[in-house]
Amino acid sequence: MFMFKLSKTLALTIVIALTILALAGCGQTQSTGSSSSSSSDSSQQAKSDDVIKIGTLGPLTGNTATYGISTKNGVEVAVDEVNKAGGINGKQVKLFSEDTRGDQTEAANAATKLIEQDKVIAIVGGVLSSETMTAGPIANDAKVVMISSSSTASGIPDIGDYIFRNCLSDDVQATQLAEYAAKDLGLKKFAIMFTNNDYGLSLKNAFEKKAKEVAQVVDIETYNDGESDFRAQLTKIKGFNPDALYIAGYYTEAAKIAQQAQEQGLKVQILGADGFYSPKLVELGGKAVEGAIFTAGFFADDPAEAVQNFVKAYKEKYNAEPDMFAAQAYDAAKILLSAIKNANGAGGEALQAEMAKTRDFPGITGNTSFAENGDAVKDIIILKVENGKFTKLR
Amino acid sequence: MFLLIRISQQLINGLSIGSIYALIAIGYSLIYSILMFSNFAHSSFLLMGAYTGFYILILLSSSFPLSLLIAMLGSGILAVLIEKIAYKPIRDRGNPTLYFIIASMGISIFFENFIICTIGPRFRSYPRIMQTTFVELGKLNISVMDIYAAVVAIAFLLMLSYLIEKTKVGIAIRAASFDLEVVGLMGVNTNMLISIVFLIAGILAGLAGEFLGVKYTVYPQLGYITNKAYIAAVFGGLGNLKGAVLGSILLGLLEALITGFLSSAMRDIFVFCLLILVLLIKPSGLMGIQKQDKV
Repeated sequence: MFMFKLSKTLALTIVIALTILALAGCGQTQSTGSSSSSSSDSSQQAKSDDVIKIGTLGPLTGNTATYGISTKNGVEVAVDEVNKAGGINGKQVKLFSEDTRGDQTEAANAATKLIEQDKVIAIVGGVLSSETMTAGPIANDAKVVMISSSSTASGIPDIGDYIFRNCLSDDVQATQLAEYAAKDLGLKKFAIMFTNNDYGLSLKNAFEKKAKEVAQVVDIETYNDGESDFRAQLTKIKGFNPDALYIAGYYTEAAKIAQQAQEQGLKVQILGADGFYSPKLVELGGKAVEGAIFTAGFFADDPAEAVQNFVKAYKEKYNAEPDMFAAQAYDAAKILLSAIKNANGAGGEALQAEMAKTRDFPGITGNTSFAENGDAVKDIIILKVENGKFTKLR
Repeated sequence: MFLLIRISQQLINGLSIGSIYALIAIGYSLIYSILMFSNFAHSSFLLMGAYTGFYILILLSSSFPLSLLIAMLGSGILAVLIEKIAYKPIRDRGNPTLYFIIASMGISIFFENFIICTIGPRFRSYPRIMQTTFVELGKLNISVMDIYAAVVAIAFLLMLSYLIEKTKVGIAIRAASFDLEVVGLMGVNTNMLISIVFLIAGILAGLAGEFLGVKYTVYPQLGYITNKAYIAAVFGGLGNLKGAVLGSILLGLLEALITGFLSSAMRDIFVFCLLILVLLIKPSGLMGIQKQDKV
């Protein structure tokens, strides 16, 4: 009996210890960093009115967490900069981060919590297009400005007047790449593989439409987020003997697709979109991604001072290279914080009006203006993987 | 001729993923055969293998076979620990099977999120071990890693077959799959036997985990592949080891052929419809035996 009690106690102790460890770990990877700690210090001294509350929503856990964490990190760097410079009109910015787990229902819950409970005046998010599609209408109805830094699917700016985005739309980047691949690279036969979500579908539709105009689309295959084995699709594609394979998805799967294409002896030009932009693409894909060409909104090796300052600050804070998600989130936060300053710290209609006025905002992802519907108007960069590094083609 | 090459290549693809499913499905079947519950914490054993192997290779710069051995041991030990901490108390209290299932789901969710919180959600790449080298057989391409994985998987399945069929432990496991209580009454240490079963299941999952990590990448959701292996086990007949292997190979082949000749979008629809059809016609699976509950 004593032994049973002891083993029960031991088991309970182990479970509690593991839980504490897990929570401690979560604190490390998901804390809002110095932005929240600096603001929490000030909030102890002053009322909550003396801070400006903004939120982020995106996947911090689940199989798209890597994108959500990069986005949150990018926003934190921007908030840190503003707070260190004295805040906005003397007020510190406090950041609230909500985890959507990449799930649409959770995204709606996260938006509701940020608006109703945390009383934020603006949100940077969602990360995935599907999240923004569900969280957007909630923010719009509450007259809370929401700026997504990575939801590229068509239809997002049409959610409402309070919804903005700071990224290249799928239509623009897929269309331009199809044209570039056919006219400048002389590619004639395209195969497409797309991830089965709003982002992948939107890219696929735009690329397919343009590619059919300027060349030929021989095969279209699909896959799911988090999938690992693509050989069956690639074997089928190989049978059509294409010149290029356009992967409408993120770097995590793209790296594996490129590797498995190489294993299958499928010699094609790999093409992609802004979801490719991450140092992880080369780390995961190795030689298989050598020569891959993709559209992007950010280039970390850009010698511009603002870009290099951001890269340095990001590396110092997170001991990692910033990816496209982090860079676009940083710019989105900077645009938002600038508009908040111009609106004298107010939210609602005043902030929406200031956001809509944004013209040629000098960001690290290029100069940004907002079209009438809140969509970003900015230049497209075309990058290539050469010797394990990204080089600018256009 | 061209069609034959395409079919052959898809068969190779199917057999390759099927052999990995088999290593996982056998673990499900082994545990089910004795404790009569589906151990959804199996994904945790697989993750343990994948991450242990990864860190052994990265931090110790050890050889691949050594990292494989340590990964298998790590997964095996984790499986035994989970059995002792989570399942044994439920068993001792005589709680219904549902409690085991809920506990196993909880462990699976906990372990995945524990990895996200401590190690992080990032995708990590194993050091390049034979990764993109392939053998060309005429117009067919076979990855060296796939050949290696298939050979090791077959070797382990044969060893397991020998263990189950020819050793005292194997006889005890087979007897326990008929009636665990009676085996206990006949002097077999059932707690030890259950630990051995979990150890075997963990070792095989660890082996699959490292191979998946090397072939693809390591990330906290890698364990989701066990869902497919579970379907394979049900397909072949849950609780039947030969059925688990057959179900896995068939599932791998089906997925590859449906993707290759119908549509990648239709793959999962076809697979699940077929599973439902099999269960409607033969609820015990392809090789499962219909058991009559004795009152």
